[in-house]
Amino acid sequence: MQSVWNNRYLYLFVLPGVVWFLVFAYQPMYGVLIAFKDYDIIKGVFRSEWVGLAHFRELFGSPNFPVLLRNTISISLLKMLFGFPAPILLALLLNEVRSRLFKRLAQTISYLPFFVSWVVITGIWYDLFSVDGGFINEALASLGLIKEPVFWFGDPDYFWGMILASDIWKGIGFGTIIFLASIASVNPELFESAVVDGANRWRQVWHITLPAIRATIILLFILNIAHFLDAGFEQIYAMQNNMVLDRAEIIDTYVMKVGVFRANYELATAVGLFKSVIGLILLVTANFIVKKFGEDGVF
Amino acid sequence: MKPTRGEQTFQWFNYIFLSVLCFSFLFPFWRIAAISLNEGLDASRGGINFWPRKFTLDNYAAVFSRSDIVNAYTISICRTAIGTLLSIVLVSLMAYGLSKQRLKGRSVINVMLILTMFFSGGLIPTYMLYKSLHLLNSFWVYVVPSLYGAASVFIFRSFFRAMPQELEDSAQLDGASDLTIFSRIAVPLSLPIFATMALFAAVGHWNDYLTAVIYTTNEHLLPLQTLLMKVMNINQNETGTMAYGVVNLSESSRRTVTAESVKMAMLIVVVLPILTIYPFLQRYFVKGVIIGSLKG
Repeated sequence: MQSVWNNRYLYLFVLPGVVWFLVFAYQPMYGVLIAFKDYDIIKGVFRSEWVGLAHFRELFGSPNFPVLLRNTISISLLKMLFGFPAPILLALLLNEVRSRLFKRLAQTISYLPFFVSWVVITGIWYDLFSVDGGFINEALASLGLIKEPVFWFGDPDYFWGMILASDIWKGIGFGTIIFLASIASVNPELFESAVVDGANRWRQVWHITLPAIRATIILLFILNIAHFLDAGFEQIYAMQNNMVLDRAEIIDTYVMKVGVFRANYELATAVGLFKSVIGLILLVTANFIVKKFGEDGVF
Repeated sequence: MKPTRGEQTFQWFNYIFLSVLCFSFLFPFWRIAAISLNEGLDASRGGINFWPRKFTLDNYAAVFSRSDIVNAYTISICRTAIGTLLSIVLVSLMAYGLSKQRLKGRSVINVMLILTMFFSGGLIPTYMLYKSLHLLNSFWVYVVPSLYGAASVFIFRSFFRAMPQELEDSAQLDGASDLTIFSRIAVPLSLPIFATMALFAAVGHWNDYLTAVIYTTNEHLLPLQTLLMKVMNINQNETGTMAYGVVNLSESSRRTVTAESVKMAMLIVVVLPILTIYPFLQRYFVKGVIIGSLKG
């Protein structure tokens, strides 16, 4: 007890945080139980009647479900295939820049969209890609590439592309920070001896730089996979509109609309739980595969 | 060694590509700024990309004449200031405690934090929790739920761990308490990480629009971002469009200000605070990102 008293300030420092995590992180995990219950506000979560998997049956039987799943998975896959490697490529390109000033300037500018909210970016992109007098349509028309203005944000066929493009545009610059840092930590002697061996720049990148940042890439990849079904809630809710809803409704936006706006708590919780379970399975699988190949996993 | 011909060509392409990319980051903001500084009616004729044709500040006057925008601005500033300050103080205190071996139960708390990085109750149980805590339609829904985060605790902790132990030991011999050591020694030595974390917390607060969409129905509590979204009527699933009442403006400017031009001015008003700050903190947040990723 004496040591606790001597260290009383340390315990006081930590205590509010512990309480906060119990309430704000762990209490909702317990609330997930209502996915299996018929929630009664008066009785509360604990004493509400169990209904087993009824809400899940309703969910899987609903015509919305395949659409939600298709949209969420497609958008996430696109982001993983094209969005994930984009900052790595940019980092490699920036690393080749000789002029210090140019490099620093380019980096600073490329961080810019990261600090801007999705609402603002949506406003800017809606304006740039506007069907009447938008800069992109006018530019494409004056180059003779299109005859009619394209309805970029109103045509369901373009929506996933717009989501992907704006996501890359927003995050590519900031994403380079971590890769540039691990490139910078490569021992310069490796490059010098490669030059002596007659390796050109391309071979140096392939045989030295990329292997050096492989651990970082794998780590970030696994962490991304755990959030695979997130697909980008903030971005997509800001960018979706009624014309493209069939392609734009993802699990998270659906949960919010059904759960919060229409107060169907149980169904929305079931959807959310389904998403968490898939995310967990993906994380564990990816971690397992990575370890199998002899790399460091997350756990 | 002289660069080969192929390498020189690559260098040229690289510079051109990166310049085009940077242009694509800057130009959209520049164009919006140009339109926002142009007379609204004139701007609706189109063609303003780089420079205003008929310069005016009327659009900005219109923005600040709307009481709902001024109110939302106040909400955004308050939540950013209060939320960032409280969060940084509490998180750094917790991290400092966890960085000391003397604290018993460290490993349990550690696991407790790590789990929250991979599991969460999801939106609806969280919504129900806030409801029972009376956070719905309250200003504090912006502040309290984002006070802590496992990742930021770990980032701070790794910074405190790297501090020289001797400083602390000698202060303890002089009879200083942990509170004194924290505020007099640990904090001054870790100002860069405080700056980084404060920047991220502040940007998060300033840019957040979803919290208000989900947890409030009170128009007077809307922060700038959420109001902007309503004004732009981006998401038509939301009910209602905001009326474009522009009051307190002179007759002449009311005639030239358009909904579109006010929107552009509002976009600039929303992004300007962040865009003027982040370049100066670049050194810090680059360092912060690197520390954060190492800790994972």
